[in-house]
Amino acid sequence: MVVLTFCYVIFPGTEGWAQTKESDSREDERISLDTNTMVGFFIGNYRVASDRYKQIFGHSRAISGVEASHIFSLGDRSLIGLSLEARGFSMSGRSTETGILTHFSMTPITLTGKYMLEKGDFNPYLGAGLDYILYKETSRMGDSSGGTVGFHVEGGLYYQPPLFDFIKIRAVLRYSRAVAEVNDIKVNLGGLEFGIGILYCFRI
Amino acid sequence: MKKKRILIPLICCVCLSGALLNGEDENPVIKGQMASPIMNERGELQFFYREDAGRVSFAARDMVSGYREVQNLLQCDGVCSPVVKKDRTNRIHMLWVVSGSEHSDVFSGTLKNYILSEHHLLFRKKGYIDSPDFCFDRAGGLWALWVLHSGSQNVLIVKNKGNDRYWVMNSFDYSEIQGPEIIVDAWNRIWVFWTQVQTGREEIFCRFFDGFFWSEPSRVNQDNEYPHILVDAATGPDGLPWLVWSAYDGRDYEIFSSHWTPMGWSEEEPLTDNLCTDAYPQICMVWDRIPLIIWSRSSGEENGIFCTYRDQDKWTGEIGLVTEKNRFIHSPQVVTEQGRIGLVWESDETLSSQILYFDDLIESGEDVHERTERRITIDPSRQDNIYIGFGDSITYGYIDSSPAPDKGYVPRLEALLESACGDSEVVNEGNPGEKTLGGLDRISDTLPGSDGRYLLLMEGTNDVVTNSITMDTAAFNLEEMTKICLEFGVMPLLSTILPRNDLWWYFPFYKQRVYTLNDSIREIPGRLHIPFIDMFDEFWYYEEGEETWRDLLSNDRLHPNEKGYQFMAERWFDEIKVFPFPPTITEGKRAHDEILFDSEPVNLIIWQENAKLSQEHIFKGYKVYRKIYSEPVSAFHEVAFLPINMVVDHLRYFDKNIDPGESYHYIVSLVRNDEVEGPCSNMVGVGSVK
Repeated sequence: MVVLTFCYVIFPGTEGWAQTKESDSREDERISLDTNTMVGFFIGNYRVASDRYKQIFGHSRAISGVEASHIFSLGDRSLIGLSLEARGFSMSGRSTETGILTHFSMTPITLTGKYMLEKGDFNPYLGAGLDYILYKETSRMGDSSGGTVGFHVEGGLYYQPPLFDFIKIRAVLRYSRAVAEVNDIKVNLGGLEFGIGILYCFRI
Repeated sequence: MKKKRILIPLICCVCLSGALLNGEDENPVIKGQMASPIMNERGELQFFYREDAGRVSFAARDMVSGYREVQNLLQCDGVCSPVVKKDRTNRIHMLWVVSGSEHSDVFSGTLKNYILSEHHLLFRKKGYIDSPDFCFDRAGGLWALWVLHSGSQNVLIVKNKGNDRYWVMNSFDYSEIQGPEIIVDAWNRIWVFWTQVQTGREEIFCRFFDGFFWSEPSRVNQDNEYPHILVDAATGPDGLPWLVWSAYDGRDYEIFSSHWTPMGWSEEEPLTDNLCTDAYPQICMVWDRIPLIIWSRSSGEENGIFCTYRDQDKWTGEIGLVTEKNRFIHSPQVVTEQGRIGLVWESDETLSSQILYFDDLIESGEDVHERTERRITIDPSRQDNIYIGFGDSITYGYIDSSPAPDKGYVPRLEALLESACGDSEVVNEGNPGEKTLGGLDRISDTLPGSDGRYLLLMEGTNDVVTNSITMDTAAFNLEEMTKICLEFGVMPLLSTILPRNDLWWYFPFYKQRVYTLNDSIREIPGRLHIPFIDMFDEFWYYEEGEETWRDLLSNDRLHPNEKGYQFMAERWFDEIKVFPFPPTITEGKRAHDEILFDSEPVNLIIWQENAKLSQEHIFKGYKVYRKIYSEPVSAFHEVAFLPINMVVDHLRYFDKNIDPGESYHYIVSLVRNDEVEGPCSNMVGVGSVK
């Protein structure tokens, strides 16, 4: 809600995503369901860029989370949106030489600004934003936790499935960079992420 | 006396220098054992000895000409242990034992003109008797003692010939009694000393008779962690008993003394402190007022007789009397008369003698060659294909009482090893006639000069029949030898001694000593976790057709024949096949063990198992040892035990408990399921220092 309030402050003159579609094509009419807000779930695959991470935990890991977005129309068949996502995963690995067990969890919180095009049922978009990644590692060798700020760029697609006007499906490919430093060890917790989400659309 | 000596300083020098340099040229040897010396009023040294099992002879020599007269004194089957002493009227008395298969007799007799003029039967009993001794009380009465071995019991008996009474000194038990001594003090008390194993190792006990009662047995030594052996006693200048003995000090045998005071036994006084074997001490009084102690010392190839005497309440430094190369001196006997010192000693079953003047004894402590400090070593440089056969004549290779090293087990085992493992060498370190006391001394010199990694140890056969130390002490000596092997990075393979079929075997006492020694040997591997082979049982249960173990012995009925040596070699080989041969460390490096946000330096060791291992299921795991780079090898200590199922795929170890600024050395060994640990691998260094 804080984010949505923030959007209204930034774009006070804009109207909702559906309102902009009233005089357009049929596709536009379908979009004009008085929805400008989406909340939903997200699952995906997160590949941490750090080689050190890969040595200990492997290459990729499933990630899941929630997201909330608000869409604003720019009036020329393009939209802008603002999303807030919180995702997380945890996993176990072993130290590089002796195989000591280590547990790691990470929660990236992502704020993304998006620029979207209206293409019928598909709305491709590009976005960029800031990340704040909370992390925690516990092991016999030592425990570490903290947070680090990073950035990301992403591209994706919203799809409006027929007959389900209040549902959207989103696919995203995101690249991020967020370097954490503990014990003089720098680890880029960002990486390449691919995910799919399902969103419930409504109007505020 | 002094006038007499003015004439002979030159002769003295010649004699002394001859004695100090090499007694052999000046002193032709006599074949015999168990010498008992006296000196007559003319200063002649006479000693009585056993030539073989049926003859007692005596020899005499004087100071100047060295003239030696040898003649037979007594011939009788089973005669042994002649002891000769003079009474207060200078009459010569002899006590001896005649042991038969049915019973044993103790006789006493007097000598006139070297002829046994009369003799009496003192004691007859079923069993075996040995270690007789006697003394005369102030009234001239003869007191004798001996040890009776009856069945499994050992009884120390004292007899007063005058009233024909006898007493049993020890409670009836089964522990061996050794070296009993009997003396009389200035107050006419009869003192008896002996060594025995009771609660710990062999130790010294005493009792005295005050004319009415015997005191309770009391212990002379202060602790019994190590053996106290070969006790000798004499009445000191204060009229009270003075004792001397040899005791293990944790490294080797040293000489100690103590004497009786109104407050009890004085504090044990060490007379030697070196890294040689000091044993067979004897004490006597020069001019009845100066305590003189002699003993034999062996140190590698150099052996000798040393002495010290009491000078103003202090023992003097060591004085070298006799030096022998390559011959272990044992059982030296000393006698004094008017400032003359007569010595008789045994080496290689021969007797030598020497006469010296007390006034010519010169301290020669600086001439005593001490070995360098024994290095406690885990020695990875030893060769894995070199084996050392260590022992007595059975190891050396004797057949029919003649040397046959090319037919012994050593070359046969070498052939077996070569066929199974390729290039191999078995070094023959058999020393015929050697006892465990000599072996204990020799092994410390043998190991540094050899590259062998494995030592096959079988010794003790000669200890059984010489009856100078208990079998517990002989086993102790063997245990110490195995410990020395381990300290030198050599893995010992210990064996029991073989059964014998000679005359001694048919004396229950000696047969029991074989059993006792082997029982004690069998306990050693469990304590030290070393390989073991029960060669006695292997022989004992040998059956092939109608052949038994007796068919494995040669005609001397002591040493194996060729078939016996082949059988021995095969049994050694069977045990060697299951040795935990050492692994080879192929890599050692400093690595960093990383988790995401932390990192620890670790040392990584990677090794390969030995190609000679044939049966993997008998092994339990690997032990990893570490020391700091700059520390001596003795600082190696175990840092990990890795069960075999944990490392079966990856023979490696990460050492996490390290100081990153330090460099370390590592070695690895393999451990068998029965806890037998093999020799250590090669040594690798890990860290900043290369």
